Amino acid sequence: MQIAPQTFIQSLTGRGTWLVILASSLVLFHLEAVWKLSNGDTEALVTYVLFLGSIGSLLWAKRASLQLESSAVASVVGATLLALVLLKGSSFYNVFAQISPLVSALGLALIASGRHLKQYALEFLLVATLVSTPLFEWLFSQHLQTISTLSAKYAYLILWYTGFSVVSIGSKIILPTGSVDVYIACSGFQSMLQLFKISILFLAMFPTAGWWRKLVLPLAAVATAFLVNGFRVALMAILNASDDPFAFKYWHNGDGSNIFSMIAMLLFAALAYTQIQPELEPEAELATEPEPIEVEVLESQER
Amino acid sequence: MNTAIWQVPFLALTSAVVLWSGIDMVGRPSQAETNYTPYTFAARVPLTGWQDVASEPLRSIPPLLAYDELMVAHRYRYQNEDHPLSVEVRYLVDTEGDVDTYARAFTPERASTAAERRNTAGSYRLYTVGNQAVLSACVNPRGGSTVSAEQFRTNRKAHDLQPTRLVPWLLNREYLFDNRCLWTQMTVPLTNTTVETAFRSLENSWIAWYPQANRNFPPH
Repeated sequence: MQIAPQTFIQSLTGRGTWLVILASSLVLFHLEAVWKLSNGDTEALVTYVLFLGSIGSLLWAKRASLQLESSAVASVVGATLLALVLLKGSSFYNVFAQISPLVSALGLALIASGRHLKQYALEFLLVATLVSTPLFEWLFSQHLQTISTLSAKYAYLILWYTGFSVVSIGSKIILPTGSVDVYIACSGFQSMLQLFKISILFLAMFPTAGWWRKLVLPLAAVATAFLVNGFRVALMAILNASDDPFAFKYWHNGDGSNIFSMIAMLLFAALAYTQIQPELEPEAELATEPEPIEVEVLESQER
Repeated sequence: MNTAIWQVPFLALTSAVVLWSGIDMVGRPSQAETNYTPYTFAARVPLTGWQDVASEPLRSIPPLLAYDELMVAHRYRYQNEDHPLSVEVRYLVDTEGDVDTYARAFTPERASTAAERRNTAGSYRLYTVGNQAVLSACVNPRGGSTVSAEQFRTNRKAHDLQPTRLVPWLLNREYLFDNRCLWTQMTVPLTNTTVETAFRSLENSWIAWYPQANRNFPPH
């Protein structure tokens, strides 16, 4: 694509400009849809912003090398997919509404590039990761109770080691003045999935050295979420036993519950940050002055 | 880049439609939960073999079921010579269709072990509570009556995925699976009659009741 100074009118007649407008409109549509569908869930919205923003920056970075030639057939198929998304993507929380960003991405890619879809492989992977919740819920549907029980046992350990007189039966945690049952919704599965997605996004966006990092980081993300959720469950047990319904509500599904997912995310971000491979400059520059301070600066610029 | 002449207008139009959809969504309520049209039961429902006496809305305490939501409930009273018949209908949405769960949630009395039977109207449960014989079943939006969650699911799969429902589904007027049930309990007293006679009378009433209930199922 020629990047030449253009007037506003000239840019309006270019296909590239309109593709950017269409993509932005779709992003806005999906952000709004996920906000409505999740009943104002900040965590879901933040994940969408992170993923769609990253995908936007990936595409913008390689805009000059993208094959942007489409056929009439591909455009019509793409537009049909988008129409389906507009009709069904914002209605009642169902599987189609959940995976609609992936359908949108396919529609947009068909309109933009016809059959040259391979160039968007990484972007498709990221959208698929973003909307993978129903897939993982299905895969783990038989094991959610196990995760609940594990969370309860782990929270029991935290309480026991901090000196509480506590008993654990299955997914129940029993304190002298009250007990909690760790339901599947509180098992930490959602936050484990959330951090898993973020870890995939991290691997896609930042260079990491060695295949084992690409394997270990997602696992570390899941473990971080599980460990942090255990403290949340322990706190729930204490609050429930101390008979303070307002505090319980605040930490259970009020703003307090977001603090724990924020802690988990910050912990993982700290871990991930240490794993970014320092970006090496071209050899000529490297040969002259390989100063560590220089690398530091580059890293912070990247973020 | 050789751009065909239709491409820019096509992209502009598509963008405009997407943007308009987004703007249109702003004013709409949260879509996290299902929405159904409120419904009022007809005051009079003729029932073959019975004379209708009275009907009144039922003030049921909403049950503590997992997902089911009670929209509205109504009781019809019929008379045949000196035999009374009471028909209680509860309109439940987002339901799994298990009538045993409903019975546990709505009726505190303990019932005798329920027998499941089938006739031309579909499946139903027959049991006695105290001095009364009861027939209990779900009137389905499509298909015959059901009593268990499994039967309800089978009906949904067999009757809900129809080409005629494609357009209403696309326009978000109907849900793909129509998880609604008119939970109906027909009750006759066991005075001056045997349990078997009472059950037979209930079964015949169910055959008379079902077609109209199914036909007049509440709109979405």
